[in-house]
Amino acid sequence: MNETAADVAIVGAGVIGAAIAFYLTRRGIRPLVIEKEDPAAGSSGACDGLVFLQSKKPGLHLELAIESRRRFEELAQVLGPEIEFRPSGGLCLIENEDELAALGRSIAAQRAGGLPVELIAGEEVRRLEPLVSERILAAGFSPLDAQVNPYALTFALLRAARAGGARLLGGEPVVGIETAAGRVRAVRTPRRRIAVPIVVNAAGAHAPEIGRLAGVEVPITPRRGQLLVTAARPPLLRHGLISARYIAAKFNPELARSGEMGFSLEQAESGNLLIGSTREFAGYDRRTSFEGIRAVARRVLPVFPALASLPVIRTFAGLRPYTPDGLPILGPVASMEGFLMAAGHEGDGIALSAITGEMLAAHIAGDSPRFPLEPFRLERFSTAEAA
Amino acid sequence: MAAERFEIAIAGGGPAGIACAAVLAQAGVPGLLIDEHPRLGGPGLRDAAGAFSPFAPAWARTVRAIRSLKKEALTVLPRTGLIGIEPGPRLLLAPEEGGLREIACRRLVIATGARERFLPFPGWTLPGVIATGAVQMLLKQGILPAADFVVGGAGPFLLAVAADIVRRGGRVRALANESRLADLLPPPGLLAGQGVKILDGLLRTLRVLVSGTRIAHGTRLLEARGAGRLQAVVTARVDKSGRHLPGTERVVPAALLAMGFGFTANIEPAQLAGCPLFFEDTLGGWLVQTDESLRTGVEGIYAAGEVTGVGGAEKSLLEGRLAGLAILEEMGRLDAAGRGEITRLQRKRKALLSFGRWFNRPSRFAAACRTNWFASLPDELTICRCEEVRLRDIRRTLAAGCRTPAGIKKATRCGMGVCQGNTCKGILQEVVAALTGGPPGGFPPPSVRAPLRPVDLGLLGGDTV
Repeated sequence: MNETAADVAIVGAGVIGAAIAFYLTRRGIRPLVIEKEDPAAGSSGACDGLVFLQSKKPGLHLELAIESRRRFEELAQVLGPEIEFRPSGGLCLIENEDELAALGRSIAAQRAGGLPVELIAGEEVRRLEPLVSERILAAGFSPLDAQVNPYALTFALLRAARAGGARLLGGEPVVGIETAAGRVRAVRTPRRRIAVPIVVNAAGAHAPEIGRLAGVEVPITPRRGQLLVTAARPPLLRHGLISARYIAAKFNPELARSGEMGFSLEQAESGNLLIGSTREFAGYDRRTSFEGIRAVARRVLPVFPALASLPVIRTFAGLRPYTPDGLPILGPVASMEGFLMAAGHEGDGIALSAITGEMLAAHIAGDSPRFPLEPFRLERFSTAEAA
Repeated sequence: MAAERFEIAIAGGGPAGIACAAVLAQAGVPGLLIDEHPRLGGPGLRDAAGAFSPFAPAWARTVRAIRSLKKEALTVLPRTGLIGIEPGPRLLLAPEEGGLREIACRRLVIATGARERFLPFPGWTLPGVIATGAVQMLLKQGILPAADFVVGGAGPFLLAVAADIVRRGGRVRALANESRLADLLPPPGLLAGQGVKILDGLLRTLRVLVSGTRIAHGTRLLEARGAGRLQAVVTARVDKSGRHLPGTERVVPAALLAMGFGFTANIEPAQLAGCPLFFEDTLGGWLVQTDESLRTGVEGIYAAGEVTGVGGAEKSLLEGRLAGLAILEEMGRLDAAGRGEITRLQRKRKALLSFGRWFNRPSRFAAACRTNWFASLPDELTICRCEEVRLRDIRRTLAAGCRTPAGIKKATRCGMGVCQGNTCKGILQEVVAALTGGPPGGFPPPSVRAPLRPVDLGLLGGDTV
């Protein structure tokens, strides 16, 4: 068994682990990223690329997302065009009066929270996106909604981090975390022991397994999202698109189960359309199902009938790390010194990657993060129970 | 959604599927046979009317069997794409006339055959470079696609294709087979009882030689050259460690290059159904694991033909029949004679597997040879045509810390195009194994999800018919 050492070990080379590594190296800290498969092998490589703000709950969630979105312009400069960042703006499509009323309220709250977003009429929606059918009454429009290539972003963050001195240990699962006197001492893979005082759990839907190795209970559940990919086409869509129902379903599992889930839709820079997504609790099963993929197709067609003749060439499923309150779990864990959480972003991992990376890096470097970690800490769940 | 129910569904109307359907239909078991093509037979025997196949007698037997089927027992769905398989088993089908069909069955036989295996070399994507199987298919339809050919690649199939070209009046300027002659000669044990095949092989060789074709073994397709389309093929001898020998290059003018590097099994439907796989390079790579009665590791699912080991039509015919009999036995509908036949077929199957190993081995170069070959290929070589991924991209991604074909696929888009990776996903596996010094088969085959064939969004979201 090899013995080695590191200042910081990050478990997981998804977009969150990669972002933390990237922001750490900017502070001169050189972490070791440990990944059991390849970078972006989990949810970061099985999602769409919407950096959406309209889908965030007004309040803490939205503030965090806006802070993250601000950093994407800079990331695009530093990482280059390969991450395919496009500030394309986004439309949240409204199909009926109930949705209109609900979205109207949410837009007012989002505007109060600092998000530039407005309600636009159906004709205006069709002027912006000619393929939208008459079914759509109105839409929320935010110029801050954007698109990025999620796995290109992950790879680019890692590449920049490695250029800054980070190391990547691929193909090695973390199988043990050694602790003594209430603090982290080392992590073990089948091949080596790495003495390390700080371990960041950025294992996404697998964060509970990593937590258990340190005796930390992590309330994250895998929530499966199935997506369809069509053949590439010349530009058909100009914005990131989601249906108002889709946002509602995110915060309401009852609605998700009922099938009234809406959809998300984008055209990637490659020309492929990505259509999502189911939200199912199906354990760690990453298969797609007839039911799931047909349901997604059925939802998008009435709104985009012109897409009926597009061939679907691929489907995939990712496991979103779901938390009970819809917010990620970030920062130190009270019961285990040196063990930090950075997981539980559910479907927001790409959008929140930049701010998550920066917050964790600042905390590790001993600075106070520009956005407070406190509301995102693991202990909020035990407090809630006690209350 | 209510699915139509069948006792048995057979995916694939090649020799294995047909032989299986024949057994079951004769016993009066209601079954469903689906195939993508309008005519049954699979690419090997579909157009066997021209009958230059030594398997024609067996084929004719099967066709007769199909004709004699009780019509009410067997439903044949040609021109029908298999889109997905789910536990049950349940099948999602896309008939050519439109709509989607959902089928539930008690038992499923996966007999989805094999496709050609390609290895990349400079110029392999030029117009005028086509698969040996495609050339053979054209010839069977009476089409001679060019006057001057080069046939190249590896394995014994090249000779058969060259003979067919010559027979149809084409000229084969060179047959460049990277396999060595010694590897192409069948071992004596394999020859026993194979009179027809030996005779067939000798006749083909003679025909090619008499036509003036230069047959070169241990000779590689170094480059396909041409401005906009193929004009010449550069060949060169290789040493035993897979390095090409400088000074042995030859430039052969040709209008068409028929290339092939053996075959690879169409395991994707079985993978989707969750069937455990195994890797045996000399049987065609990744294959479906079965017991002696061709039961896969998934309850109710059988595999027959090339998917259990690439071995040709005779093996497929046998396995189709064997699977059919095994199903009847499970259903309690087999007499003693039938059980005796199962035993006989199981024994004969072993010999046909040996034939398969001989057939595939010459195209499966040693790991060291592959490493030397792929290491020598230029950076700008195209690996994935659909997404224009070059060898350079793969080398860079490996250097950037990706280790597996699955990771490289995500990082480079290799295999993400409209062909669903059917051409290049095998190549990517081989390239990554070779460049990382790993063994062939060191990586699991890339995961498979529905749709197995592209399907229109409107169909997917529409009602079943």
